[in-house]
Amino acid sequence: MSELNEQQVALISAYIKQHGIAQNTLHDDLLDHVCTSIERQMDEGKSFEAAFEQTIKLFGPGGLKQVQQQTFELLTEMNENMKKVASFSIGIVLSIYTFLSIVALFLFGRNVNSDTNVLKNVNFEIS
Amino acid sequence: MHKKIRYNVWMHKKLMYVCLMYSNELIKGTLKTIVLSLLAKKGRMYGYEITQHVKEETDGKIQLTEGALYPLLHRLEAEGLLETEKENIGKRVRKYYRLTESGNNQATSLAAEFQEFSKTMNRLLNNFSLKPSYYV
Repeated sequence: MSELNEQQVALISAYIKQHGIAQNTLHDDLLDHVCTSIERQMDEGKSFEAAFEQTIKLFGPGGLKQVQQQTFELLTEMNENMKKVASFSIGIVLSIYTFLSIVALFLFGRNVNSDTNVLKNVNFEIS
Repeated sequence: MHKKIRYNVWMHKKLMYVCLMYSNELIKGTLKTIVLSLLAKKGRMYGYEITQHVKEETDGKIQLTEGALYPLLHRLEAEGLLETEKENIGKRVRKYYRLTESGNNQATSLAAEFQEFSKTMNRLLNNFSLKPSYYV
């Protein structure tokens, strides 16, 4: 089984960084992926250069940058979903609170008013 | 806004989920099921291993691209369905992905859901499939 030497790994790492992969964890994933793919092809008798070229081709026309863009979009989509859930639950809590206060106003609001009326009447009679 | 929509359409046209036989929509909807059930069976795997395994098990009918796989793996990790462990391989780091407990539950329920769905689709398509012309 072929194993890439230090120089070759450094070359691939530089290539990945050069093509706009800023995210560290993604860089590690892609570096290992590209290296493994090259090693397997070298096992089948290809040269390092030919295997490298072939592997890069598999990333498609958008290249490496597209992988990062897609990762970014999936993660933001997830955060946006979480925001939606949060604002939904805040909305539910607020509407329940409003509903309960209206109910409370109807049930006890009149009693409060009539009590004060009674008190007013009492005061009036005394004076 | 327009620019973003156009970009998304462009991305889809550029074969995000390269696959020789099935439409992008089919693969997109089942990618999570594929990856989670593979990990449920195999324990821990690294990215390259996952792509190769899927390719072999499906006789090359489904070929995951890096552009589809790694974004998904990162998202599943962020959702707490996967956890990673790192190992040094020569001069580089290899990241192994494995299911967490909730990932395991999710894998089971997704697989069951898909099998049920596929049964229903089969029944539906068998009932409504076009009869050969000599029946008409």
